[in-house]
Amino acid sequence: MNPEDIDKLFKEKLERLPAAPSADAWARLQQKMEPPKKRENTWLLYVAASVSVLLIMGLLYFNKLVKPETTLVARNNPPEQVSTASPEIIEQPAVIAQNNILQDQVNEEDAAPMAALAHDIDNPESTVVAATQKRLVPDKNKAKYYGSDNKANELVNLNQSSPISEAVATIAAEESAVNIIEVIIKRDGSSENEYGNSAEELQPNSKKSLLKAIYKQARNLKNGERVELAALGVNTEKMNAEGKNIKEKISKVISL
Amino acid sequence: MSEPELLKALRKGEGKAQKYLYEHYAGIMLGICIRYLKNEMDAEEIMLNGFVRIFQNIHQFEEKGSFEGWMKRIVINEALGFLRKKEPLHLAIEKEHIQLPNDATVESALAAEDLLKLLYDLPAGYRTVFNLYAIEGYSHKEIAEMLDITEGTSKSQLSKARAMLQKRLVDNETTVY
Repeated sequence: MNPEDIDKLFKEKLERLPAAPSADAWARLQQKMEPPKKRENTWLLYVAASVSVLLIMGLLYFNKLVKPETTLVARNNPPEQVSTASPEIIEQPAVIAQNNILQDQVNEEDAAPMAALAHDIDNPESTVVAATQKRLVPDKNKAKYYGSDNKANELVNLNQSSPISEAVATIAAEESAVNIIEVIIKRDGSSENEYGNSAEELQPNSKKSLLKAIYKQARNLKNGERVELAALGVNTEKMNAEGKNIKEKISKVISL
Repeated sequence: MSEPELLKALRKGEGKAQKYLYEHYAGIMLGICIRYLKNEMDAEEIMLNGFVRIFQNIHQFEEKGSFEGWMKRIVINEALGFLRKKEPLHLAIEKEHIQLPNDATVESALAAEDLLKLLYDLPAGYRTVFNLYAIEGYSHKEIAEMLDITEGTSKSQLSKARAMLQKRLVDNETTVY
């Protein structure tokens, strides 16, 4: 057998080898023909997915960041120690404590304001009240500080805090119970006269003196005088810094 | 559809013409790929890649040679590229000394499948050169260019491939009877 015969044998039999492609082969070929478009789509999908994941993670991280802080401070600073509050302590727990004291005081000494209080406390569900209180939260201190016109400040607050969305809303929700009482203090003008006179002597180490201080500041606020937040055991700068941080974080997330 | 019409439509990128071409040549091209690649899945993949390349480079086809020959060349090049990655073409070492029986005659009653099996038994390098020379009809010069080897290597690989195939064919005959 010559080598050429082998070549011939194989050529005859195998040159046109019958072979049937699988049924989906044409579809696969079409897929191979248009990879750029598909790649672009998947690329967009990946971007969208990662952005949403980042958003969610950011929100979760933010919530985590806020929640432990408030609980921690609340645990570490029972009402007895509030008066010795260092500048690092943030306002909310202190306010809770103060409000508790206030309620006690009111219970003991005056029934009429208590009724007003109760009335207001009974209506936290009212969304209008809640909404205004939420808006009030981040800039409450400013409102007191500039204290000449509450309504004007509220308007400012509205504008300032409008970009703060869900994240702040959650904090606000947490604090709303506190704020309800906080607002009442401002409106509770009738009881101010009773306690206002003796509010001069400030003894920072007692609940009573702190309460008096609060009433004094409340009266100042009402009369349009300057309000000293330091007297209330509130650190304005930290509050403002926190507000700024929140805004920065959210604007970063949005710009992403 | 005549070939010039088909080519015109293909150059426009008409999907209908592409499907027409595929339906007429997919079997032939797959048959070629199967000779080079043992794995059927690989062969089909290479066939599809070959068609993609044909569609994308259709404007490069100058109407000098046959269109089918041009397409085959593309598909074969795809297969060679794949082999280069997967199987070391030129590391095929002669493992056995082949003694040819002088009086061996082989009946051509063997089916294509049997011959394909014999082809698969060859080392990848032998098989490729044999495919290109004996079945496709390329010259040693062309094969040397395609595989980036010397003409001498191509010739020696071919003769070794032939010898091995002949031995196997004879063995096959003797086992049958």
